Amino acid sequence: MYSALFYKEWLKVRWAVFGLTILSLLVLTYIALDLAYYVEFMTAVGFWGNVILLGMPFFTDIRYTPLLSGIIVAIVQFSPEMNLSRLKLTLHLPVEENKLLFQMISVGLLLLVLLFLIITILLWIIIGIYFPVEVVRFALNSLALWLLGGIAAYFLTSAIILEPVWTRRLILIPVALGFIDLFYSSGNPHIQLTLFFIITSVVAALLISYSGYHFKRGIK
Amino acid sequence: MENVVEVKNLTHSYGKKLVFEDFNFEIKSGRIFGLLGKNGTGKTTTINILNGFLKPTSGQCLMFGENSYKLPPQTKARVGFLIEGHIQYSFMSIKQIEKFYSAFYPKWKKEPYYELMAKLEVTEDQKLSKMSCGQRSQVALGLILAQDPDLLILDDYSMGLDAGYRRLFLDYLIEYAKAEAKTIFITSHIIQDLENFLDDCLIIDYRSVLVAMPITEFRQTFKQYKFHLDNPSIKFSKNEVVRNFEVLKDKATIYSFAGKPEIEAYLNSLSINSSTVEEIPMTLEDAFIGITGKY
Amino acid sequence: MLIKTSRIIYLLLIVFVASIYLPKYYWMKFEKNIRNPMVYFSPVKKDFLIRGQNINELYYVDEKGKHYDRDQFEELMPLLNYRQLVLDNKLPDSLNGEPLLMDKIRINNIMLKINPDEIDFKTIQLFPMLESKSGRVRLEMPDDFFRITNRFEFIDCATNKIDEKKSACFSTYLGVKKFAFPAKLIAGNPTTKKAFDEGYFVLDAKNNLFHIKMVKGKPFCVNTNIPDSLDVAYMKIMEMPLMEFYGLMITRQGDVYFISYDNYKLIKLPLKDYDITKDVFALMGDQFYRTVSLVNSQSIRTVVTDRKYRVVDTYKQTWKNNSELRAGIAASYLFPFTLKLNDENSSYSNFYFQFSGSNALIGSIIFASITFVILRKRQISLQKGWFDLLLVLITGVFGFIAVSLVKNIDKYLE
Repeated sequence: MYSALFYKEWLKVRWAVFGLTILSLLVLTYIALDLAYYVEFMTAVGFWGNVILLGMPFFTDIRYTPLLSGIIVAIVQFSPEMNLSRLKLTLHLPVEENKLLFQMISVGLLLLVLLFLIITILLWIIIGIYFPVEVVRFALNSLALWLLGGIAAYFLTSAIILEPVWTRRLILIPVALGFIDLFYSSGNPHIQLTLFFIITSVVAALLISYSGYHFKRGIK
Repeated sequence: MENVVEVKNLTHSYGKKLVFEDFNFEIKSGRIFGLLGKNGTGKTTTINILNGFLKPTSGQCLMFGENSYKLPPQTKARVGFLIEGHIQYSFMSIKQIEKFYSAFYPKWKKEPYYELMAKLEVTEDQKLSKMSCGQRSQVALGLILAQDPDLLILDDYSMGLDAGYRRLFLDYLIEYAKAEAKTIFITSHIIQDLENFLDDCLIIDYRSVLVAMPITEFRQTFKQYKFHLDNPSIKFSKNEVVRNFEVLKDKATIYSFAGKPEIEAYLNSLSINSSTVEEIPMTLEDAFIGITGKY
Repeated sequence: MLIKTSRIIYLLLIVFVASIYLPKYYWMKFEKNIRNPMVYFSPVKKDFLIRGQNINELYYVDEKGKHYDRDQFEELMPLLNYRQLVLDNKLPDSLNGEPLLMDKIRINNIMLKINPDEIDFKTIQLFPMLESKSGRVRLEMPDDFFRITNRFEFIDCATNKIDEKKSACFSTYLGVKKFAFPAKLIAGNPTTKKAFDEGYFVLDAKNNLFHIKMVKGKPFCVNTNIPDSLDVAYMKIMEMPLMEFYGLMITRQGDVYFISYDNYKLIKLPLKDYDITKDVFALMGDQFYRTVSLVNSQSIRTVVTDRKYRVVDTYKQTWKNNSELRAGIAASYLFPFTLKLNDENSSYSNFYFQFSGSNALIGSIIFASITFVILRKRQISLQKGWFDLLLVLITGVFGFIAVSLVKNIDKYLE
């Protein structure tokens, strides 16, 4: 049954996921080209000095790609479900409602995690061409927050879309915005902050069942 | 014979607006039950409650003995549901959608589905969104047949279908229902097709139940009487005898469960000449309009 | 169960977000820009001069409150403003028995500032090892950066590969000098914009401090023999023509030492109560004195010493910071705590949690009472509503907002 559901969700989101993957690859290519340019333009040691000693940002183009990905996948996956008749169709399936919701979420999550893994590995490789592991580690530390922000954005956007009552949506939206903003306005995260964000991103998934509860009650 | 569906004292309001009150009916196993009524009388609300999408303000709705609001998945698998407008996952193709649903229902049989699809002149990979309304209705029906449910709930199966597809749909359904002794719950506001199909009917109006009986009984007991009215200014009113009436110039029509002698006696009591009273035979649709009124 | 848990998560999320943004917006509106005073010690008056700021105007006062204008100030601080005085032909020939010569003044004027966010930060541990005796007037950046992990490694910038020969050379040499890998702390001044280069001061794994630099391509490594019991938090190395000390060493306890050129002898600064997480350390020096100030949001404590680091005078001034002004007091009633993820005293994003003190209890109790009344009105029993009430009691206005926005759905569950 899960594979059938995965298949259904996949059919909905596959083009968006392809598009986002292409976008990520383009951005990463742009970063790679930028790095080559900086080395040429600033000399290698000059570039190293700027990055290591002066903290020059050199990979921040990828910053909002995970956020965009999370939001888009959520929209593409759940907007079609919010049409009243479609909702009835899904709710009629012989699967317990919360289980159904979480299975649907797991599909989007899995695809996003795969995409983010690709981004991480490629960024690792690209930066690793020009810099030693210390710099790569530093970059990945920043990237981690951006990726987590994308995951949290996926869950929260899904919860917002699934929430049928407008007043409750209007509350969820600023809360979500405020929360997601924290992922992108925190530089140099201390490890415990990163851990906290990992936990809260995961736990944010539960908000979906809160919206989902109103799923049924919102039907008129 | 067990009750597949039992509705007891069902009351529902949307906020302050009362939809119906103290609704009671049963759907027996192997029967074809029709919920008939004009638009806005609460048919869809009833279906929503039956399917567990809506929690009634008060009262009880049981399906296979269980609270319809909290149906466990195994029980849900026994119910086939056709949504108004034959809504299905239109982004899937014929093949994809069958493959999808087959994973959820243990009794799934794909043969009836593909038999029906063969009649449609569509390819396996054709997406539902690229099919006509009528073709989609057949897909929806095929999926229900493949599911082999014990109870079929069809919410306005006729919406958007022209006469040909309506008839095709019903033909298939009748054959299936009789062969497998399935229980069917159907709502509609197009009455003529259901003439030879329904076993029991429930006719509702705003906030009240007008008729709740087997269809044969309804057809036999509900009559239309036409007569000549000498005095066109006489005002009739709805009561136990006169369920509905129409006056056009000097011709009057009365709808009633009463027999002809009772009608004549009633008219006489109002000092109306009852000698021209004639019983006029009705189709189910005539009877439906007769009991619910033209507006 | 799931629905209750998810509701609790939602409530906590709102509390979390509110506790960050509400104080943030509150302070954006109400924060007063309090300019810290600067404290000087006049070698002429042998007394303190304080520079304050009133809105956009600077003013100068002494300890007794007497005001001075800028010209008077400059004359009282001749070494600081010697260039202006020379221009105005006002520079005295001598002061306190010592002649005032331009070159001597210039060499002896030093300034050093250390912010808490410099201390609470670990930079990327890659550094350029400059050639300290190249024979050229200007220092040049090398072609590689080094790191000290389980050995000393030079990585060529252009190829991103380890220069095995150079690395082996330095690693071996350090081994001979009994350097215990890996390094715990590496401090230097990695810029070419200085007169000369003293390389790096490196704390090894056994807490011994080594002075490492590159001389004519060859490694230079000396054990400073500074006691290994010091809990070093930070070192700042600054090459100064004065050549009195290489730089500063700061311990976690707030002790500050100069690492002097005299065989790395440590000179302890007579400072008290330096909180390295909150205080800004500011050092001004001239040919007579050393003026060291510790500044935070509500006080400045200054110690003046002579060139032999004996205390000459001390000064202290406190003022009300934002939390003590009206807006701050109101905030302490309203917000039981504030949460920030970024703080000016650290370069890390982390949880900066500040508890507001007992005032907030009053606010919390008021909000909790209102919540209690609302629960009653909505006919939610204490058995079902206890979490909401407790949340409001603990988190005050934040919990109140959360609970108001997220209606208690328990009465719909069965």
